[in-house]
Amino acid sequence: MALDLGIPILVVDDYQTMIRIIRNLLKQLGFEDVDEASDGTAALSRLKERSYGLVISDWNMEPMTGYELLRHMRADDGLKATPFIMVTAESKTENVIAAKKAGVSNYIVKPFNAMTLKNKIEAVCAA
Amino acid sequence: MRRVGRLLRRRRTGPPLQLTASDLRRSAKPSASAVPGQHELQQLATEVGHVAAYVAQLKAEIAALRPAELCSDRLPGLCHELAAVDCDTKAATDRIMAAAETMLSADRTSTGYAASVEAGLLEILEACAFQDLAGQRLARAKRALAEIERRLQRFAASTGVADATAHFDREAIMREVRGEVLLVDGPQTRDQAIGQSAVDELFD
Repeated sequence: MALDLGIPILVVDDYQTMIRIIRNLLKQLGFEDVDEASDGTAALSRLKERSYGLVISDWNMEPMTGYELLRHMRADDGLKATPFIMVTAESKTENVIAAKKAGVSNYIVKPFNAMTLKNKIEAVCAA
Repeated sequence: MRRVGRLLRRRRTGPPLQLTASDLRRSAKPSASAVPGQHELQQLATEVGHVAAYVAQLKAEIAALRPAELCSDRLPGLCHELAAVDCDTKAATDRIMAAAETMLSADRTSTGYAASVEAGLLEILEACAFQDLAGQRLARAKRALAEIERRLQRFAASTGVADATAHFDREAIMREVRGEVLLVDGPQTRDQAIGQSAVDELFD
């Protein structure tokens, strides 16, 4: 199944540098429609304004973490089906299991490379 | 006994207590009413002497900790070094990313493409020089931390005071609770962290 490069993607991270890195990698993969938010609360506002085909989020942010954002989205009928990739430095097994239980679509551990991001997006968006 | 009582009262309100041999001799002089308590008095005077010696030692240890110097110089200096590393790292990252973005967006069919890529690579190499300065700043910060650690270790060992079981910093408690509830604890050390392949196995 071919990847739809036209899907709007929301990148959520409190570090502008990380947003810039993910933006560049997405651009190289062919995704041009990329928005950003600096934490879970800002992301929820964005998600109310617009429909996204994929959310790529960090875990450790304030005030609302990526984990809380994920749980909010999965509890919301309008957002529960939106693919969600967690990209985080939280690399303990209990975090991965908790995110999986909460309904995360896939999980990337920082630092990561372009190939990993590409593979996860393909796996999530083709599912 | 009345004399020791006066000495103890003076200790609470007056100058530091210093029991001398003559104090003890005078305290030990028998009187009509105090003769039966002479041994007790000597014991009390000895104990007060021990307390005074401990207080003096404690004061010396606190002075060796040099808390005023820690607060006015050492810790602010440490914060300054770490802030400078943060700032230098951010500036270098911006420079490197800008160069990479310029190269990635360059027209590959243009005649100047090779030269622009070469210029971009040189820019990245130059920006990496931040590591030298950052390394020196971090080395200075590590030395300061090691010095603080040495002083605290010496203080803890010489006073023998046990740590309180709970800390009373409200902000620290809130941070700890938030971390536990929301599983926020990263980045992990190398031995705690699992790699991408281990994560992938949990999704298979």
